This record gives sequence, C-alpha cells and structure tokens, in this order.
Amino acid sequence: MAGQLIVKLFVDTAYSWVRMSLALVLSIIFSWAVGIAAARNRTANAIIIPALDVLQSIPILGFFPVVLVVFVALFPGWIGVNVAVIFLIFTSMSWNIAFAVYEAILSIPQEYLDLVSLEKLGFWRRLTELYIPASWSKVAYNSVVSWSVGLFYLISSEIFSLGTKNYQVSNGIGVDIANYSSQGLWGAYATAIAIFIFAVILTRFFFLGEFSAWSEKFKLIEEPRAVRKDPIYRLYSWINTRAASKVFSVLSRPMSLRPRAPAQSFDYDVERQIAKPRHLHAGKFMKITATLVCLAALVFVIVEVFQTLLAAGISFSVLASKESSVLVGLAYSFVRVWYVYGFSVAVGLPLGIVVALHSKVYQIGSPILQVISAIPATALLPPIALFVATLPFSGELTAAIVIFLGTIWYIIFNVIAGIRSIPSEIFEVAKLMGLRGWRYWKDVLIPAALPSFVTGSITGIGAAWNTLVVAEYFSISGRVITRVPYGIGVLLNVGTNSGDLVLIGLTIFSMTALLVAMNLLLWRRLYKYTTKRFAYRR
Amino acid sequence: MTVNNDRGTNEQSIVAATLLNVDRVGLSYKLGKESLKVVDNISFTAKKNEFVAITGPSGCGKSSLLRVISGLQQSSTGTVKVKGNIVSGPTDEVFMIFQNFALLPWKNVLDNIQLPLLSRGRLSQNDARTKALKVIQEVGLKGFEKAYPGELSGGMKQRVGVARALAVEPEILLMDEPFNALDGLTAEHLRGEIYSLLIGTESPINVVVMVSHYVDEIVELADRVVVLSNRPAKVVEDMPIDMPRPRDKGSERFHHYVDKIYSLLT
Repeated sequence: MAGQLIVKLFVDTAYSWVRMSLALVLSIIFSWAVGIAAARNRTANAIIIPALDVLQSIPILGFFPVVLVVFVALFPGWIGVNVAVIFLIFTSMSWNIAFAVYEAILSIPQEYLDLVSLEKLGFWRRLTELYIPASWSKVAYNSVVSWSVGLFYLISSEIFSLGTKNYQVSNGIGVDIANYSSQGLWGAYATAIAIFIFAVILTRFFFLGEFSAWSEKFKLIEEPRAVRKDPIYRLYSWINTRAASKVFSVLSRPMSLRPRAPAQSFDYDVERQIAKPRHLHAGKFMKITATLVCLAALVFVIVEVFQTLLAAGISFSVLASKESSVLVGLAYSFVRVWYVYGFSVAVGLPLGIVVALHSKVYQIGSPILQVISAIPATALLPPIALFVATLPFSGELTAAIVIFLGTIWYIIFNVIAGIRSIPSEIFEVAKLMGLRGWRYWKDVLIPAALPSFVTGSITGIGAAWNTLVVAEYFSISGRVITRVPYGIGVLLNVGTNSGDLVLIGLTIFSMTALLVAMNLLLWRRLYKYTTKRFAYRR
Repeated sequence: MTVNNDRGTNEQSIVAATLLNVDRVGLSYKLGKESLKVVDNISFTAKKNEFVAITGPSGCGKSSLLRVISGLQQSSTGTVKVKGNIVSGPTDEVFMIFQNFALLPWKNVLDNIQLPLLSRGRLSQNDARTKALKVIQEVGLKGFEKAYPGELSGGMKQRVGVARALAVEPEILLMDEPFNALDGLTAEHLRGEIYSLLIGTESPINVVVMVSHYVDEIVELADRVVVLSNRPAKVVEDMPIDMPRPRDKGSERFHHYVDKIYSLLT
C-alpha cells in the first residue's frame, strides 16, 4: 500500500516535471526568438521590449481562468487542460529568460560581431555559431530561477484546475497535494510533500547545477571567479536584471539592462560598456514613435472591447458598477500587500544582514534558504489554511501568510547579496571608527543594503500581487477553506466560478494599470535615487 | 648587518621612544585541514616621528600584517604592542588609510570625516564639525564639503581618506597601498604633499606605517623600509633610508636605495 503510494507519487511528479520541462524548453525557444530579434533589430526592439515590460507586470495567475477556457475550447479534453497548465508555467518562466538573452546578445563584444561579418556568415550560422552559444550561460542561470518561480505556478495551477470541476489535470504532484489534503489524508500528503521536496533538490543541484556548469564554457567575457561561483550572487543578479527592467518600464529601456556589477568586477563592467553597440540604443524619435504606437493600440483595444461589450448587451452602468467593486477590491488588496510587505521587511532585512555578515552562518544558511524558497507556499498551504480556518480572521491570516512567504525571499536574498558585494574595507573602517550598535546599523549596514533592498522590494511586491489569487481565496477541490471579504484575488475567483469574463478582464486591467503606475511613480524614482546615492562604486 | 642584531640594539637603546612594537608575529590560515602559513615570525619597531614602509612580493601578507597591527585581525602567534600595550582589537591610537578609500558612499565629505569623531572620538556635533572643517581646509578640499564620494575623482577621494585620518588624530597611522588606485600624476601630486601633512609639526601623528610595492614611492617617503620575503613572509631586511628631505629623485643616492630594495625583492 505504502509502496503503491510512493510509486504513484513519483509517477505524478514525473508528469508535473514533464510539464515544467516542456514549459522551460518553450520559454528558452521563445526567449531566443524574441531576445535576439530585440537585440539585433531596432524596429523589433521598439515593439518587443515595451511589450515584455507590460506583460511581466501582469499578474499571471489572474490569466489562468481565461487561458483554461480558451485552450479547452481549442484542444480536445486532456490536451487542452495540459496545454493551459504548460502555457501558464511558460508565462511565469519566460520573461526573465527573454531579457537575459537580450542582454547577452547586447553584450557580445564588437570584435565577435565584426568577425562574423568578415566571415560572411548567414543568419542561420550566426544563430548557431554566435548568438545561441553566447546566450547559453545567462539562459542557464536564469533557468534555475525560472524553475523555482515555475514551481509555484505548477502547484497553483494544478490545484486551481482541480477547483474548476470541468477542467482537471489527471496526474500531477499538485493534484495529489490538493486531493490528499482535501480528504484529510495527512500521511499521504506528507509523503507527497517529501517526494516533491526531494525532486526539487535533485533538480536544483544536479540537473540545473550541471546545466549552469556546462554553460560556463560559452562565456565570452570573464567574470571574477569568486563572484561568479557564489550562488546567491547569481540569483541576485538575475533579480536585479528583472527588477530593473520592471522599474524602468517602457521608455528608458537600455539603462535598465545593465545589472549593477559587483564592486570587484570593474574590468568586466568596463568591457561590457565598450562592447555595447551604441547604435542600438533607440533614439528619441524611436521612443516617441513606440510610445505613440502603443497608446494608439491601447485606445484601439479599449474601443473594440467596449463595442463588443455593448454589442453583447452589457450596458455602461453594469460596467461602472463592476469597476467600482474592482476599485474597492483593489484598495483592500493594496493595503494588504503593503502591510504584509512591512512584516517581510521587518523580518527579512535584519535576517539578511545577519546571515550575510557571518560567513559561517552564510555557508550553512544559503543552500538551506535556497531549497526552502523553492518550495511553493501553495504546496504547504492546505494544512496551514485548514488550521487557520478555525481561528478568528482566518481569511486575513491565510492571505498574510501566503503573501509573506511569496515576498520575503526576494528581500532576504537581495539583502544578503547586497551586503556581500560591499568590499570588506567598509566594514574594516567601521570597526576602526568604533561604530557599534544602533549607529553601526544606521550609518553603515542599512544604507549599504539599501540599493539591493529596493530591488528586492520591487520584485517582492510584484510577487505579492501574483499570489493574491491563491492568498485571498483559498479553495481545495472546489471547497473554500479561507477567504477575505474584499480583494482582487476574491474577485478573480468569483469571476471564474460564475464565468464572468467581464469582471475578470476589468480586474486584471485595473490591477495592471495600478502596478505600472506604481512602477513609474514610486519604484523607478526610488531605484534611481538609491543606486545613485547608496551603491558602492570604486 | 643581520636582522636579529639590528632588532637587539633597537630594543635596548630606544625603548622609551618606541611607539609600535611588532614582536614575532605569525599568521596562518586554515585551508581545509591544512594550515597555510602566510606570515612567519615578523618583528620590527617604530619610534616617534618615523615613517616605516613595508614591502615584499605580492601576496606575501603585507596587508594582513597591517590588519594585525590595526587590531582588525588577530595574529596566530606573537604580539603587537602600541605604547607598551598589547593590541587585541581596534584601539584609539591607530587608524588606517585604505587602498580603495573606504568612504561611505551615502555620506557627503563632511559627514564622512565627522563620523569617526562622533563615534570613536565622542565629540559633540559642534566640535566634530569644527574639527572636520579644519582638516578639510588643510587637505585642500574646501568647497567640496557637501559633495558625495561618487562625485569626486580618485585623487579627491583619497584626500577625503587622508582628511578623515588626520581628523581622528591617531598616534599611529597605517596606510595600505594608499596611492595604488590613483593614476600616475594624481598619485605623484598627493605623495608630494602627504609627508608634511602626516609628519608635519602640526600633526598629532607620530608613526606612519605604509604598505607599498612601489619602490620609488618607498624611497621618496620612508625613513625606514622593512622588506619581506615570499610566503611565508619573513623579514629579509630592515633598513634605514638616510636621505635629507625633500628627496631628489634624480640623485645618485635615491637610485642607490631603489636598486638596493629591488635586489632584495628579487
């Protein structure tokens, strides 16, 4: 019996992993197409980069109901559901890999480009001989992070698809986790979690680790060894790239793609700057054209949508009343995200600093933190939510736990990497100055962590919004365990259950608009200010 | 002249004036199960108003030795004494100028210089400010009080580093390759001024210990040079540089010292 269970769980994990792998392969192919085009062609650049920027600020999970309906309509039975799940994971994995390819192609030193021109290589050969090899290492290490992010969506979508009765994935570790917890089979649930974690560790340290190591030999530009080996640095520089691209959205693209190089790698940084082909930085004219085209497209889409809605007999007043409930939900979710973010900061900032400062703690702590962070909060949620459901304010509490777990890693990892990239001289001079206690934290540690803390906050808050669909309205097998009264996540679930595509559309649109506005008004400025004033440069 | 004899006579004759006493200091690191000896049994002393240079092949542990003297790092064997007291951690008598300046990027020039006065010097905000403004004037940074390190050139940054050290008024000042990160001309300019700034009549600094691998720089600045060997570093030679100041870089004597130190290094 127990043996049967374990075999079943391994088989189901294999199903899930096949979905993950297909999504990863798709993401990589998509990234090559999009990244190379954006890096080598000005027109493509003007369209692709802003599009990617908007796409990656859209809460992916919010898409899922729509995606599910569309794919099930397009493909028969189980194929449709599986394609929908793979597509969802794909959307969570691909943006950062696409930006990484773009960046890798941009940083190919000019000599190599001259060389392929002199050799008169055709497009296909350039692709196989230069562009793809040159991007391997960035693709590999972004795959590591993408895998972790993808796991969250794998589990969420497998649980989610079970909730909407008509659309279920038959086999999958997420399905098992949802099934066992909804039936109260806690022994089986624990076994499933254990096998899941085993698979995560195996994949992370063997498959993805080997992939990264193999890809290193394709590097065109050497990074300092010590820095490159540090796993947290890898994660950090990815997060940096991603966050930077989120912050500097739409208009000021090229600047954002330069990840803040660690203080030690001065030569590396200079090489990159020289290597960057200047003509690719779109001029003012291109930027204005791109903005106008985007605005025109937006107006067109809005008008089209309105006409379709009116034709379908949905009046303006119905839209207005739906939008007003969306705005109420948005306000509640906004406050929720920010107060939980406050908790994440209160825990993550000091914890990150302490781990980074003590090399013994760091050596033991960082691999442990990496594995824990790869376990999606949704997998651990069923027992927690069932317990919390017996407490007062259960909806709020569950939401807070999920958002917290979705946010804190970005803060911790960024702060750790930020502090560790500070040269030891700073800490030495602080000791010689006799800085101790609160003054040491106030004058040295916190300012030193600030630039990376801001990047961590940007990605962390982005992740928080993404978790809301699960966090605010948690159901297993169609049974609601906990929910909050108002919020974006509630609206998305209600919309899905009642098939109200207008409500879902309005919710996603309003939320995206808010996130883009926040990026432009707050985060972009904060990022600029902190990197200018607080970043350590030699 | 052997090293041991030299040390023996020093200890007996100038014990009273000896401010810094590095006594049989050894340093080893654990590399897995083996321990790697970096610095082996190094001894030297420095007396009042002496500028001592330490040099040696790269990677021989010069900078580590400096960190032991500052109290930032513990030696594996032997002791460092400042005015007769054993150093076991950072003390009020010692401060350092760093190769890459070690300025806090988020504080402006004035605040960078004031910070050690407020924390370690326990001065009031007002006194710290007055003192900081005074040294800013001395090192030629007037007008840059509100500038942030990121807005300054390398030479200016190191001036802030010097100003901060002067403001702290340590008896012993350590300098770790202080001109290494500067371009040639800027370094030469600052080198020309630094001796009078540090060991001038107004300066409270009594001993300067500089780590450097530029032989010309050493002969230009130092009263004495301690030459170390390859790892594990031992003292190869502890030699006075006996030349009047300001030193003429074209003179035969200058070249004699430069050649001597080069031959010891190779």
